[in-house]
Amino acid sequence: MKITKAHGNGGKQTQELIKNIFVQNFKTDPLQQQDDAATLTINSQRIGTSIDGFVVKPYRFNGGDIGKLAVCGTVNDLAVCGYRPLYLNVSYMLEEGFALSELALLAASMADAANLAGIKIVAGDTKVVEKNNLDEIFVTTSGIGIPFDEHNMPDIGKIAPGNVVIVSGDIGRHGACIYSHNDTMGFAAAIASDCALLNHDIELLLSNCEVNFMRDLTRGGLATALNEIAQATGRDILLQENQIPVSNEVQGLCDILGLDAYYLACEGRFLAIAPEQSANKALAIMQKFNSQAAVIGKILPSNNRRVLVETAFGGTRIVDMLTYEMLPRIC
Amino acid sequence: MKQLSDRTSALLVRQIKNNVAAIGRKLKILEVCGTHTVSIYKYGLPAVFGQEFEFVSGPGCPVCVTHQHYIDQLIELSDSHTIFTFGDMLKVPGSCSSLAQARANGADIRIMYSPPEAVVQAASIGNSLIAAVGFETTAPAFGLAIKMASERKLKNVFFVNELKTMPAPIQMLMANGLSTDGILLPGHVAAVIGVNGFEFMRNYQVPCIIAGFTGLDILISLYRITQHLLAEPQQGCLINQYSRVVSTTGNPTAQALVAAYYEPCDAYFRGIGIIKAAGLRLRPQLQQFEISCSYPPEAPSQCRCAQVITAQIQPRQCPLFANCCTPESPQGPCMVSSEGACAAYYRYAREGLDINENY
Repeated sequence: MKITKAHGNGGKQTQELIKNIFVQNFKTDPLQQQDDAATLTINSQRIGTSIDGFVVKPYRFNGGDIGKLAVCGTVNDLAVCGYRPLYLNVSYMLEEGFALSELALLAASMADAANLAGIKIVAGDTKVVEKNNLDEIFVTTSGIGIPFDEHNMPDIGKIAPGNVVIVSGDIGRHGACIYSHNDTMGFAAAIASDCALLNHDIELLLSNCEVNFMRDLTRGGLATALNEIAQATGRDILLQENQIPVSNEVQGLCDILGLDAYYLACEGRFLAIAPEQSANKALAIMQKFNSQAAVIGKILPSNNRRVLVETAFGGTRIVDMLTYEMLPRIC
Repeated sequence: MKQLSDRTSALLVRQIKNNVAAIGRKLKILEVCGTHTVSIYKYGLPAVFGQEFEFVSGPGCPVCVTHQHYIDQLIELSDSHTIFTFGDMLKVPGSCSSLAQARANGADIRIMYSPPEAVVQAASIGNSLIAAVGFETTAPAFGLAIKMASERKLKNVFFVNELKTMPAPIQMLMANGLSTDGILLPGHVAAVIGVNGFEFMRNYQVPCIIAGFTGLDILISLYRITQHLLAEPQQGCLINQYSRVVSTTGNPTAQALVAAYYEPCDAYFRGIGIIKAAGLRLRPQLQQFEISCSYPPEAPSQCRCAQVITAQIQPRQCPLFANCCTPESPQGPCMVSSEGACAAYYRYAREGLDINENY
């Protein structure tokens, strides 16, 4: 067996790779929890830490670039786990021949995003590899943060039947953006990515209402995040198809290319799972940041670890983990 | 608009159920296009109409009907050629490997989004092969690609043809005595060949609907089938539900492109065998662009894809289904293609869909 692209899509094979190779070898508790960020306690201070690698192609896209994305990714991972991001480390891997002026622009964009997030970039590393041994530029960031509120930490264990699932905006924009940049398809304009910082929105949400758990929607999209939650909690999750916000342009691209918006990456959206009594308040706050935020489903009492969606006709289907590269169809 | 269509569909669902109750038996509905297969499962229709309909599939997913040896041949040729293929073909198992594995082993295999674009790319690299797989819907694009390759007098671009046409396999199913209460005909094939291309369906005593692909399109088509069965149960019919896309005569430009570069030939359908006049090959004067495949007999296998795509069984009736055959390790082509009947069934409905909302 060799690594195929399916091992990197965030779906089933990625999960198996992490479980069978990494967790198996590293055997540490925080890693086994497989949250977006790990929780550590150092001298009785609770600390969150997270790391993320970025290989997006093209490295500059409509709505962002790899510099901004690398900040948003790690900041959002910390924020959805209840941590105020404080410090960021950055590693650049560059291909021989990459333009310095481009690198300067990406670094400036990274600095802007870090300022907006209120995070300080404190340590860095640079490596250059021979021409053709790496595709232009790869960036890795890792960050640490402390709890927004130590007594109100999101925890997957708090999720209970009857809890409501809220999504913070329309889904799939980042994935659709990257697909529409592929010039072999000849799209006239690229869809704008949803790449954005979430830490300020989340801080406000957490300080105003009860939220049991959050997850940011990145690689693998809505379907993958929900499946991970169903796996971890053992519960079924039931969605209402006509409540899930998908923009016309994203849906249009999906229809043309045979993609499913539920699996497209987002880079500035998150799920909040809230008790029924605080759902309206949470929704109202989330709609202030994005009018498309919506209640899309709820946690069921049944224990089959499935994500189900009820269609507009009253039919129901499974929303599975992504098991292969999302591929354009033949006809 | 969205709310309007929600109300319309709820109304249609009720009306269809009433009609089937009046007809007095469960109806067997055949669809012959992979996109219909996926839509039916995606909209949860087998759950909505558990009492009313049994949905069965025909041989209309191009990946599913492609011979294993076609994949073997592409893998073999990938030693000396860059291969351009539609993404669906990547994971299809050949006899001992797949194009995805060959790519992981270093072969230059590229996903193509449009055949003409592949010709443009291929022109600037070494020997290239374009895997021409599909039905009437993709054949015109390959026609355009051949036109470009021949006008530019390219010597390094070849096509491995496995193009197929829809009428002959449907005729074969009917000739073999398929029993069905209604047929959803492939809307996008009809967009190319027109309603005229499916006129022959009037010879059979079964309602045939050229159908679109949204949930509402399919509901309307099912409704028309049940209406027809109530009104004229002994008569067949041919109805164009997808008239916003499909005209009587079809798309003349696309037809001309196919006619200019291709001629009909017999075609091999995986699991079924040779079907007369169900394929397209390059015209004799263009044969320098064609690499032809010859097919050895298929190895015996427990995989029952062939019966799945000839409307004989449901995916769950195959002994391999969801046991050793899953989308991660597909044993047969219906599980590998995202538009294959087994993959759609596995993805959307493999377990019971009972929901307990009581706390």
